[in-house]
Amino acid sequence: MKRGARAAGRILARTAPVILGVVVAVFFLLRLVPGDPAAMILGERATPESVAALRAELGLDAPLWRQFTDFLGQVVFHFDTGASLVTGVPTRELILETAPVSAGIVVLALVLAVLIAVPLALVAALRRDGWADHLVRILPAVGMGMPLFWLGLLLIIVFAVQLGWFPVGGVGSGPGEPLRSLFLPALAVALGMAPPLIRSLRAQLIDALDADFVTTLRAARIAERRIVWRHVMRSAALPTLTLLSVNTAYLIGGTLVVERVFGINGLGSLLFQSISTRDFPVVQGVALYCAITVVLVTTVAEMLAGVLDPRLRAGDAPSSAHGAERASLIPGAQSEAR
Amino acid sequence: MGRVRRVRRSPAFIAGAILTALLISVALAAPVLAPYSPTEQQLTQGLLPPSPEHWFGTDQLGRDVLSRMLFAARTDFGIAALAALAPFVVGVGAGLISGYFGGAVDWVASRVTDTVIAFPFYVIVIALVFALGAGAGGIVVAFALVGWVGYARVLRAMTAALRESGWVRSARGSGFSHARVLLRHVLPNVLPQAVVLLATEIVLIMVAIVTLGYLGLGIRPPTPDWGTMIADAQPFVTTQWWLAAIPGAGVVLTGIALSLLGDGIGDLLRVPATQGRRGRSRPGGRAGARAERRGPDAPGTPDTPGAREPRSDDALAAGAVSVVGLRIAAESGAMLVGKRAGIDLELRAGESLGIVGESGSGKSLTLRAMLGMLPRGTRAVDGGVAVAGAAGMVFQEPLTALDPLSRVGSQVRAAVQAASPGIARRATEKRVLDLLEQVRLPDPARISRAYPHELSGGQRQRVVIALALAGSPEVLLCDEPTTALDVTVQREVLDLLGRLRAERGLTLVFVSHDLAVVAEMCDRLVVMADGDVVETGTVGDLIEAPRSAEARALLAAAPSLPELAAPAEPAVPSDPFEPSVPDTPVAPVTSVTHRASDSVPRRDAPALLEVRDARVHFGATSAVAGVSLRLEAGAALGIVGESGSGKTTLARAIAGQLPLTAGEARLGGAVLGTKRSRAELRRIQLVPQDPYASLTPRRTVGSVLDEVLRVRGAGPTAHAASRNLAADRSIRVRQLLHRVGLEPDVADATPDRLSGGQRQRVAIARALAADPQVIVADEPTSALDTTARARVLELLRDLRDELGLGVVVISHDLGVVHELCDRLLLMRGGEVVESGDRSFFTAPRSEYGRTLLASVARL
Repeated sequence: MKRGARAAGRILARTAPVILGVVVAVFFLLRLVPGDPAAMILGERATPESVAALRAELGLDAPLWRQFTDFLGQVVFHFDTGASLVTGVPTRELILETAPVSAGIVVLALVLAVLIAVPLALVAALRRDGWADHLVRILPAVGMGMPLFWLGLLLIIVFAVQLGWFPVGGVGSGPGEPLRSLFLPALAVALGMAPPLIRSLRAQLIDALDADFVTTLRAARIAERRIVWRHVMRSAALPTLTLLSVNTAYLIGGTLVVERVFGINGLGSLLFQSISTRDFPVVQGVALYCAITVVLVTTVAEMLAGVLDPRLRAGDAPSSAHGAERASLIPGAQSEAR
Repeated sequence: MGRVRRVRRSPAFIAGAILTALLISVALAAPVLAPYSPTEQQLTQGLLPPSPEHWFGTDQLGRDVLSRMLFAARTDFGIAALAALAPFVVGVGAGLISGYFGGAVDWVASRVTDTVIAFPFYVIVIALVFALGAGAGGIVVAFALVGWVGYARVLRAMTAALRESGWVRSARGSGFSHARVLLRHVLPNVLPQAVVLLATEIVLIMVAIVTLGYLGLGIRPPTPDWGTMIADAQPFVTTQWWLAAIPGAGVVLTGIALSLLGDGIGDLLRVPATQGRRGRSRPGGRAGARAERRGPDAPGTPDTPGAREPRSDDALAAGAVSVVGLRIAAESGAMLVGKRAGIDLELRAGESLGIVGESGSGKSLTLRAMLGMLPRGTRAVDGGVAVAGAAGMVFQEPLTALDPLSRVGSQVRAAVQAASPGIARRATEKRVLDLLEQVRLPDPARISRAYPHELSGGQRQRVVIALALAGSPEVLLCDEPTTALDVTVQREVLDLLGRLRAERGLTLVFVSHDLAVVAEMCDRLVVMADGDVVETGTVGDLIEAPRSAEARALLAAAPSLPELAAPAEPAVPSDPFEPSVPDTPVAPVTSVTHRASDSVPRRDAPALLEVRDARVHFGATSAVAGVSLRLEAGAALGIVGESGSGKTTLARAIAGQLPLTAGEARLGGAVLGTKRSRAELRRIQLVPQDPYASLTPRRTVGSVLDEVLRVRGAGPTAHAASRNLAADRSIRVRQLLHRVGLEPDVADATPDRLSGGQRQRVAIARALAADPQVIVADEPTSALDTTARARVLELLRDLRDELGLGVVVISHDLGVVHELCDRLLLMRGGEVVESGDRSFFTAPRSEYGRTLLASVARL
């Protein structure tokens, strides 16, 4: 267990600077504005007085290092990026209010993406070079250039307008209604995410099917079904976990855009509304919360992979491995593991 | 030539290129093609459906949709191209530098990359464009800030992998600057991947620009843009759905075009697959090599009935094998086995048959046919195989032969259950432990709970044997079962197989490239070459009087170690390091010393290379723990050891590729610094282990050799350094090729067109081009077939005798060292166990040396 703790410590040591980097990036977002941010926020008709007042409110008068420490303190102690310039409500509260709907879409989309991608990738890999495989392999080319919002519009046209199976927009209340309202947006995000997922998953499965150990197990006359389910699927599962965690950022970003198409009041609407009112602290807050979520999800996934993979579970301390494994950790010594 | 052919073979490239070209020209020609002005409003003509006048109808302001589509394409393509450029340059540069140099630079670059990746792409782009101001300028800057991470990540990983490859190490060893190595050797090999990425990134950027337009953050109206067109059309989706659908289709079409183009470019730029990396494991020909990588078909691939049938299983006694007229072909139709005539083999129950041959001779495929599991992409087209009873198989590579994610016990259990369906759980457990015990694994209960990576190579191979025995086979098929193992482990596994065979009366078919191993295990031998049986007979006959050229070649390549003398007097393990200096000086003599004798002045020829108490540590691990050696000009020193002995690490430290943690190396009396100068690097040249990874891909042999000469400033004659002309160098290149026994036209070939033996000789020529005093050859023959092996050894001997170079040979193969070296250093666990002259082969002084020599299979 001690080794596990050390591995976790290593992962955290890599995560902490990234979180700091995220905070720094969000801080400088406001400072990227060409010219005076206060003037930009207030627009062309602002008086010099009101601009000066806003500068003071945003803390733009203080020296840069002071601005940063203030910002950092706010983020660390209050999980906040300041009060909304429009409503005066702390950004944190606005985000916590709208986040659940977005989170619902993200989770639903993740489930749908897995449900779509895994069977298709499996069929393609098992019937390699068959017609199903060729069909599945064309998908990424089509899916790559598919803007999510347009996909959402198409889904609305077909399933909401023509067929009337789902509401055109908004989130309904009542039993089962939220799920029904979130289904189409989640499906749009899932469909957008599926093509690259299918592509990598197919490659993973083919690698696993081609692995030497599959030949060994087949030679021992173990049933093909058992080999696929117990061995091939399992060895493809770990890379898939990593793949999904890497795609969290895409999921969140996609959700925010799709919300706009479906008129759902989530994090995305908050972002776009703040942009239209030039509510800078809120824009910063949304960016910060999204990025931190991504970092946390990736970190957890990485730790989970460490627990699930027996090779990682043993820790990468060279003393615990044998023969070739040890050699492969030592640069230059791999060549000796003949 | 080759490129044109490849273009024609990549439909993705053709389709992608045509489609992309079409889209771009349509966009460029928008002012000519567009029937109307894209901004001209005709409010009375709003929302018209598609018609001959307006092919795509009109929008709510009465503007012609087709014209707007064309002009929008122009805008969007232009911005996408502009926005894709900066990230490409920044990302490729960052990835190269961070992957190549590693260390602190890499750490910082990786954390910055992680930070940017943490932001959801749309969130950060939207926020950036908002801060920077909407429009083309903001979009381009935003992508420059964000888009580089994709390239940086992929290229960093690729570069870091290439950094450790033989050819990048050799380039450094030739005294090239970091900049030259990066730009001339690494960049050309990672650029294809970057270009493929570029295609996908442009698609991403296109989609993002359109999305930003849709969100009102992109191109400002009235300039037409697909995104704003969709946004404008959204209120009318229920009535005029095509208004939103058409611009979206434009984006999708662009995406398809660029994706296909990217895939196609990837196909074209990829170096054609190397022919069989490890000669030995190649089941045959080019197609065969590919087939093997793909793994086998489902078990029990039905053999196509041919003209002649093998005897039916019933007619055979249990354990007998009958192969009649077998022919195996690749899916492409190329015949792999049975080219001239189908293979016929008969084995009585309990008999043992060895199949020997070089790589590509079809021996492994024949064995797989007996198992009834031909590799994917190959099939039996004629004849058939009948095996009476069950067959089990042992494979070559124990490190990958077991599922790394399942416990050893569960894999054996599954095999037991497959062999006897419905077996009770307790009986299964007992049988699993029983099997593990039969293969002489210590503590079966513990092994059963272990994961494969917790076992050594030899232990894993025993588990594979247990899996093969689970079905209580009458026939055991072995495909190079000990090739990947160390000599002493090989001995143990061979003994185990021999004992199991005797105990169970198994019929054995044993495939190997190593005649000595096969001769030991089998009664009868079959020699295969190029898919055909060229000779059959008893082991004794074949060794006494080989009839075929192939058999003679295999026989000549078998290690011819002298008989090991019986340990006369008790060996002196007390001081195995004592140098044995012959009383009568024999010139040239290499002498090997160890720390004990450092102070003793040598009376032989002055040392060319001298290493004193060298230590190499990797973190807390000590790979080389205090090694001293001496080498004179015109002499050869062999460094022998098994996996993990530290011999390759020592070789790299001698060549200056790794810094010594402690101790020193001297060349011609002068101490070599920790950071060697380029001239010092050139003096000692390392020929890397794997000839398939030791030459820069895509570069012709001539240009590789020429580069070394140019950077060194060398002409055809020794004193012509000042006249460094291309013509002189090309003469010198030809001289070098001649020196290593290659034809001059090899200079125009790229490495992928050369055989393993040719590549190894080119690698030696490149080492010679640097004008070295010492050549360190790391396992110079382990990847080569028998004939190529003999010729490379001969070449090394010539270099030693004719050019008077000092030669250090690193090998696990005692036969190689015996053939080439005057002196020898035996290593184990980073330390020198024994050092001595050729008397080692008859009378080793250390216990380990004796074990090692006794383990070698001899004829």
